[in-house]
Amino acid sequence: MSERLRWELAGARAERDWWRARAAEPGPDAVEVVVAAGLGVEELRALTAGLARETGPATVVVTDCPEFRLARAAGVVLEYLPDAATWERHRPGVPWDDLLTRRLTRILLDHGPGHIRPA
Amino acid sequence: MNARVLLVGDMTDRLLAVAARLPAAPILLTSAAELPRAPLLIEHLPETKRPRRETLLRDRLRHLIEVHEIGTVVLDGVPEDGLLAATADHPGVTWLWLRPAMWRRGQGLRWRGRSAAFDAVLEPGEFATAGDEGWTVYDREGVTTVAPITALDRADLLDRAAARERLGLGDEPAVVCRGLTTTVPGFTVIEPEARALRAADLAVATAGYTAYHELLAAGVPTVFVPDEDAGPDDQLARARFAAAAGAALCAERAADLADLLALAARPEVRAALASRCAEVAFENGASAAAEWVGSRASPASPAPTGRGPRS
Repeated sequence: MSERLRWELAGARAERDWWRARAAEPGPDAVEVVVAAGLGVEELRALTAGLARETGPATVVVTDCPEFRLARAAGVVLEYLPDAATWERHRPGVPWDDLLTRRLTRILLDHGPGHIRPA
Repeated sequence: MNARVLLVGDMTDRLLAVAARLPAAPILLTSAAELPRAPLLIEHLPETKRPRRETLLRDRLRHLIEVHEIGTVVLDGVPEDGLLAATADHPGVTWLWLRPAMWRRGQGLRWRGRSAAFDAVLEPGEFATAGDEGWTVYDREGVTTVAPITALDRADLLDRAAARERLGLGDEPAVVCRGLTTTVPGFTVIEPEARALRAADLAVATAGYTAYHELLAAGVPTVFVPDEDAGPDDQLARARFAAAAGAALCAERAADLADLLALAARPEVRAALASRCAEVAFENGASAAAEWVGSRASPASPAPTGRGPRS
């Protein structure tokens, strides 16, 4: 391998690693999406109270608790989706996991780039 | 593919009344803070600063139309920019507008031309339609009107004795409040479900669409207190009309309320109001509205044509 090709390969790898690192670590404005499916209203309230903040980008909490309004907190956007049992009653044959995946994709498109974590 | 119906609105009473009479359960999209208790699949549009509501609404409609295979969207409310953009994105979807009437004079004019974006427009009826001075009075082309829409038909209401038994009431007079809280000397305050509304001997209520028509339909003697902060909804005209018809009393100013409640507490006054309510009784337009929606529902939900990220 020539010296020139070796340099080019090293440069390409460095650039690739830089993009990978950037993709893995969202910037300061990235949105954190917390999936809180299955939590009752009290658990949800405790979660959002812990996430509350007055400044910076909002945290998006995805919940299937229909009483989510009782868990509103500053700096937290509550994204509701029907729970798995309700979904199954209305859309038998369409897995709830598919709904969750598509909704999370939509939420990241709507609220901006970020990362997803469980509650 | 099923042709599902998506109902969109924040004041969900009318939509739920229609939903209960559709042949297949629709899906409801609302941004109301409190989700209604209804056997529907309910989706929620959150309030956010970023993205802007119009963008969020447009993109969320795209997502829901695809996920739920929506063929028909029914809006009850005003067609915001995001919804208007969605009508252009999805020309294969049938867009229907349950357009409210009774706008305050000179208000809501920005929505006037937006009927053109919909395949059809239905106006939920108003008992006080003769007192309507809003812009919709002059925008009638292609608009269908049905009787006032309430959740229950009159036949579904319990009579007074059955309603009082259900609530465990004795002989004491009872008052129900809707949209406000107050007390009336000598009356027990009750909170009956809609079916047991006739348990009340008196009602004190704001003159919003649902409470107004439910109370008149149930024949409950009512003192209406128009909510001056109700935005463009002309509650004052509604309340005045009911009073002019002899079917209710209207407290135009807060200062009038005590006097009117004292008047309404008299049995002969309440009997006259109830009798007049029976004379001017109106049908429930919910079934006609559901038929109207059903007859226009699309059989399929083609792919959207607008730009933007697919969900």
